[in-house]
Amino acid sequence: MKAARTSGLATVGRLSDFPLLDAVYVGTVRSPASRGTIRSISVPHLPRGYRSVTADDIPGSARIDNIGASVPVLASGRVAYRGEPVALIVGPDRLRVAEAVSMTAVRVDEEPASFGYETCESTRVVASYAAEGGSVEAALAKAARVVDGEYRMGPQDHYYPEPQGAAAGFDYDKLIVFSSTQWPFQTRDAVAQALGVGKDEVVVRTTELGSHLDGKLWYPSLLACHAAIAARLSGKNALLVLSRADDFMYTTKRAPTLVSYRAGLDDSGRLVAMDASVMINAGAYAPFGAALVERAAKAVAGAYACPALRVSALAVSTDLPPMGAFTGLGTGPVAFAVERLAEDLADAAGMDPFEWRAMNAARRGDTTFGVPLRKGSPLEAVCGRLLAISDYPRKRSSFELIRKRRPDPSSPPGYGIGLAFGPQRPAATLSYRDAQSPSVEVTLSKDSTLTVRSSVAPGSGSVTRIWKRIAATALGLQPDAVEIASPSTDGTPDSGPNAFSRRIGVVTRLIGSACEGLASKRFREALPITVKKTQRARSSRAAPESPLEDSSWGAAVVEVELDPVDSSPAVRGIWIVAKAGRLLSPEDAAKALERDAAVALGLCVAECLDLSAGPAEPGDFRRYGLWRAKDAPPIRVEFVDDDADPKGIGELAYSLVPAAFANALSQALDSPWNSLPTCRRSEGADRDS
Amino acid sequence: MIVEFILNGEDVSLKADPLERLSDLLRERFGLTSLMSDCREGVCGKCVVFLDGLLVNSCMVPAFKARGTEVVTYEGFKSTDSYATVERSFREAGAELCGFCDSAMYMAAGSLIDAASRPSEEEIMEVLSSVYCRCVTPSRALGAVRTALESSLGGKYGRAR
Repeated sequence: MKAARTSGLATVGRLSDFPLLDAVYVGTVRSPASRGTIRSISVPHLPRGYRSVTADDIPGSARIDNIGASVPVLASGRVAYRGEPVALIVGPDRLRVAEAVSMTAVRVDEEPASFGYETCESTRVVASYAAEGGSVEAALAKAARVVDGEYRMGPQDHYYPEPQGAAAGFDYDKLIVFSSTQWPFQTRDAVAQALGVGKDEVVVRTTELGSHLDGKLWYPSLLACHAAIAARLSGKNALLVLSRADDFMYTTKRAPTLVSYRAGLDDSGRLVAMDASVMINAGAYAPFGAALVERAAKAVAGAYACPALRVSALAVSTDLPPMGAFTGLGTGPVAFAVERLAEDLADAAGMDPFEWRAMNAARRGDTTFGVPLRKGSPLEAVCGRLLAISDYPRKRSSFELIRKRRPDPSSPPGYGIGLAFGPQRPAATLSYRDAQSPSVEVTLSKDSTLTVRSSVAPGSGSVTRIWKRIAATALGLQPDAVEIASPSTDGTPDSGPNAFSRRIGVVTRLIGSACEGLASKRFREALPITVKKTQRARSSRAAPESPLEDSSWGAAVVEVELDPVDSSPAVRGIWIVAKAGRLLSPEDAAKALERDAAVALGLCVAECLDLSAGPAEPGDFRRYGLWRAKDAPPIRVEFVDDDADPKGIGELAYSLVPAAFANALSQALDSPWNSLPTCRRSEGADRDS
Repeated sequence: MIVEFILNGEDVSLKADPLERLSDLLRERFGLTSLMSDCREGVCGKCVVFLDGLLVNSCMVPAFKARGTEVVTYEGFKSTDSYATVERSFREAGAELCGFCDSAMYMAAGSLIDAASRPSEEEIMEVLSSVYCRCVTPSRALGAVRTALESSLGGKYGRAR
């Protein structure tokens, strides 16, 4: 690969701090149409030192295909969503690059676009998953009561602490890419493929991630390809950082999801059958579509036992920007749906919501998913504590009295309290590139300092402290003697994507194991000693497991009060109790859950994005109501003692709080509330305003 | 136009477009990268500076408005007693912040310490909310500012208030 020596590429904390000396800026020319054939790309005359880049200029493969889908690096021939990158403008002055981008005309023979996903042509289905256990039809026919429900969760923006971007530059014969990515090895492979070079010629160093909510799984690799191509063609450091508005409009969002249930109860209120359908709007190209549907489908029964279960999950490709993960892949909207359904089923059975859950919780030996559950859900332990600290039983009874005895049934009762219970499944793989085994490496040097290497960044001070403490304890060192290496594809082993609670669920365990291995060699071998530990991939011949196995568990209560004038909900409090194995840092865990609960509530009530009639517009960013710290209600978090291995809690609040909130709102309104966020607006009215 | 102002205690002068954002001037001309130029719409608060003692979003301040003012960025704020108090309080309260919002959040908290009157809880949260980041644990941030106020303002305003 062409070498162009540069400097200042050692470390970059934030992308926006990338050294700009002798750098070029990269601007993105985007498709003006949501679907169609590109007729022409007319770039204005560019001054010396500037150039345009189209798909024809890409030195290697023009597509990223290691994400369970094939996404063009730059669209060529056809466009699949409005805002899709079709060309780049590269030059030394940011403002002139922006001006050239705005003057570039992309003509597209536009075709009718499709944004809806709840009904679609079969050709739009890009991934499906179906499973059935038991005789669902017969069980529904015999059921004492049958309940139907449809539950929707809309798209949402991750609102990263820094808009997405990438930087690239040569360091002798290697291309160094700085990317705020959760998955540096996926980014490296995509860049190497786009440049048509070997993987060892590209090094990806991760910049600070901040709160990513699993939105930086693959999209950074697209931007990294753009920056890398610009660096390769210009021979200079290249920087591409999206504007906040562009990030909002064109990067991945949470995939909108519709979950439909038909569920049957026997006379006692026991769940006897469930027929579930999950429709997911995966947007253009549907990256990770298969993983989305599989993970969603396996979550449809929530924490409950159901002897007859049928599930069908479809990922639908639409002409919207690619959709994807949002604190979990596909599971959040389903967790919301099944916990709303639980409330509806309790209502149909005339039971208290907690009693219904206690009756139907999956117990040891449950075979809802075809294989016996080794360890049942800890509903009593978790909810017992939760009900006590939230005063749920008394408040719910009081609010029911208000609901039933209010003098004017046409006005809402105004008070509600909702409960939700559920699992966070263990750190999962995506079934694609990370199917190989994640690794961690530790090295004890001659000066008795220990270096921990993992491509998964700790991401926070609390995880850094935990890793240092575990390593130091295993080797009898001071935590200050432990250094956590910055993730890079040339300096750390592949630990898989930094997602789905892998930091705690996988990497922490591997660090402990590697340090124990090192301790056993410490006085037998000469320093430095390096030990690498790898988690073996689960064998395809291994006995299947219930998707509930080894989960962390949690329950939440949310209390709401409606404004007497406009009926808008004010949240009076949130209570969460979790059981997540041995806590490595109870204080940090509680803090993280509290923060997540506040953000999750904001996603329910404030952050609205309606893509049902088309992609986001510039004005939508300004209207996206960010939930501020001042809006957070009192939040109380507790953990139930558990001496099992530590488990992740990163998805719990995002699964539980929305459902508990919607359950509370349904009681306060005396009407089921089955769609979140609450502030979804009609597209026409919103846009017209 | 020529824009002259005091930046972190030093007189500075430069030629700038009158409508150029102060945040761009500070980042690109003076290399002050503590402030981020993120939303550029006054929403995220990550570009806050003290302008004549008031906390403002510098992305919303045109260059001509900075003429004759005193601007203090995080780089200047770090040398103050208020910073030391705030940083210690956040650390001790376990109110961990990410590398994207910490400077802005510390300055927001610092503005409360330097305020003429003791802020109420609502006022504290209002000011902290002017910086948006999903990393913030609200109760911890509130606790940190309360601690900072206790340690630095107890004598100033009297504990009875």
